[in-house]
Amino acid sequence: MPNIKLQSSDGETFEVDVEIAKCSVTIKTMLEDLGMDDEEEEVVPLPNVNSAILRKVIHWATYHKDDPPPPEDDENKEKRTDDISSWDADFLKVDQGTLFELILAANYLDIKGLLDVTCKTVANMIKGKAPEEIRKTFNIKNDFTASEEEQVRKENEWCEEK
Amino acid sequence: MDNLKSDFVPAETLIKMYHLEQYVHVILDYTSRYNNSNSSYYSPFNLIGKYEIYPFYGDYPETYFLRSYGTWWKKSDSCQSNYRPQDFDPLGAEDYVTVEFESAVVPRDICIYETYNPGAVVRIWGKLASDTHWVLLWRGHPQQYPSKSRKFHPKIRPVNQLVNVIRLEFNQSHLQYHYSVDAILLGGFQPVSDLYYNMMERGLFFLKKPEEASKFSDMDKYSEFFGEDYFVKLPYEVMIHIFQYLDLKSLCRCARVNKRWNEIVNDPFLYQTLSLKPYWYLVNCNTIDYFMKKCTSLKKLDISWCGNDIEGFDKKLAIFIGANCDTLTHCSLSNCKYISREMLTELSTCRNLVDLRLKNVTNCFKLDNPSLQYLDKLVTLDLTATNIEDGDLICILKENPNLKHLIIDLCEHLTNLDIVVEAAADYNPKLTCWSSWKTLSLTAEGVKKFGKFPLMKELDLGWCLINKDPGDCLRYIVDGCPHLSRLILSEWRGLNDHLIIPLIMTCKELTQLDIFGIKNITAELCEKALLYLPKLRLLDISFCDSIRQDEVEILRRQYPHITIQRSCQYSSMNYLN
Repeated sequence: MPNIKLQSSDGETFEVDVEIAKCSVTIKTMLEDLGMDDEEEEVVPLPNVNSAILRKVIHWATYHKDDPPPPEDDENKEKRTDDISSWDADFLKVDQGTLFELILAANYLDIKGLLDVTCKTVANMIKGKAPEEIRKTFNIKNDFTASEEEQVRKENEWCEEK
Repeated sequence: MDNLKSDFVPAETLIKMYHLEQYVHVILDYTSRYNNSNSSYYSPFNLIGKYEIYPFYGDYPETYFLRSYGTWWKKSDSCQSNYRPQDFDPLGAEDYVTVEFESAVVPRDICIYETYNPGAVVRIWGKLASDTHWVLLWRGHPQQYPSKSRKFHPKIRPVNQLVNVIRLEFNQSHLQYHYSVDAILLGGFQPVSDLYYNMMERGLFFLKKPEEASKFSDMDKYSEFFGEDYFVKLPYEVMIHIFQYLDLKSLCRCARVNKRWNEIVNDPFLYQTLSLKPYWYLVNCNTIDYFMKKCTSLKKLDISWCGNDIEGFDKKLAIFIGANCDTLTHCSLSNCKYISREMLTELSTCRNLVDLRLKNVTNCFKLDNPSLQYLDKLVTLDLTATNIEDGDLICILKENPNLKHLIIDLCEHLTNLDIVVEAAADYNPKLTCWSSWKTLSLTAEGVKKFGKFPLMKELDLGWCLINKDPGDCLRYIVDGCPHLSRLILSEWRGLNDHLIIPLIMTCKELTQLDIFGIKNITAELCEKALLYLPKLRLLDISFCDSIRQDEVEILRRQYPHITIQRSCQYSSMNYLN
């Protein structure tokens, strides 16, 4: 199996099976567009991903290397969030910083499966919470004035039980 | 229950009240019925009054039956998919019945007398006598219960409001066979005087509002936060990627988090599908206004169960549908009683509709007038228990050559189903699913026309030929529909072994066969079906009186992977009396 070298933002190099690296559409296109040969010993720099996150991403991609290709992104795509596999759920038992870094990495590297499962995990953390609980969970600052807050509360009150 | 308040003070301890127990007085609404409206067998109206069958257990026509059970119905290609999976109901309510009691009481006890396959109730709602609000009195998962009658008496949420309407929501998908309820008892307290009653109705005794969000009031004091807000790093499109997984209620709450979230949550991309059915008790005209602002390209709308008894809702909905008429492809309006002919005209302008469901919209079609005449892309049409007439339906069939699923169960205004089948044979060669359960105007001549649907997979003709001679009409289905996987022939009393054998020998794709109530067929025929139909998974031989119960038991042991249904009354009332 040919390998490829990926370099994280902090300079660490990871040697990865090309097929596994290609689950990233970004890397796959890079290889194809640049005509980079599988044989070549060149290093692909990934300036947006640090080594801790890249290690996690490679771990994820290695476990999922035999997954069927993700379905086309259309309106009928499954939008449920209760279908996260137990392996993924364990994999994503990380602090918030790491989870969000993984989202950014998945987005940058264009790894649909990883982006979906990390975003679903965050969605599950939002679900069922009141606005103040959401702010508390994610350390979000409330930048509404009192009157604005009252207005958005009113605008969105239809779904609150009376 | 989860929201039980410890500081609750029951009204009856504060003012003088009578204790009252009462049974159902009026049936207001229901989503499921087993029979035509002129039959009292298994009818929702059997819920009225005290229980008659309980504590007996079994298949008694004097009780209320739900039409579906188990997951057999969901396996049908014509079964409605959830238009917005993010908003799936965790308790899986499939049907409801709404009943009224003579006197409004502060509810304390609700007893549901279940007489067949108990365990389907997942929610109990009470409607306030004073206004149109609903309060949730109980919710819980569907229950596994032995095959015995049951007086289901859940601990309900303590409220101090007067209630005279109760709605039960059911999830019967885990049950082995039809669920039945004999009666519903509402016990509670009623104020002794009109003065007290009026004061209660206006909530004057209990002005203390339930504390809202107070447990987070401390939070406001922390102006500086300890941790980092990682969302600020996420680009807009990633935020959308997260929000697309959220249900509508969570989106509403996200809109209140901060200004950026508020802006992103308004993106119309997040509102291409709406499923308001799980929120039926909250939906009103303001809800429609709310989504009117957000939906610019709505594709799927499920507003089933919503909007009944709300003034002006029909007009709001018509405007909303009109505003999205170019993009709407799926629309489900089950049990929306207010849908009028004018609304159908509005729907008819939604030229891209492929999936339209009007189940239990009982009076939307008008005599001698074409409805939905501009629709020509329909693939699925559910008109269960509507007042559609033959001519109108034929016009619709003619315009929609791509129709694959047609459901016209319990359509009492179809008085000549034979010509409808004939028209479908001419215009709708792609039909794979036809359901006309208990639509009784079909004859053997009409049945022969089903031989012209080579793609037909599911054919529900239950009770259609109840008292008619089938002749050799089944032969036409056998010869013409090689892919048939589901065939329902309940109560085709003129059938016998000889007429069914060719079906068993030819239609090898059959997974479900219902020959309920056919008195002449024998255990030998059943054995042939089990032996020669390799894909068979469900065989309903309830009320096939020529087959003995011990024969059924032997077959069940021999074919454990096939569900053999045999409904019965477990105890004879006369015998026990």
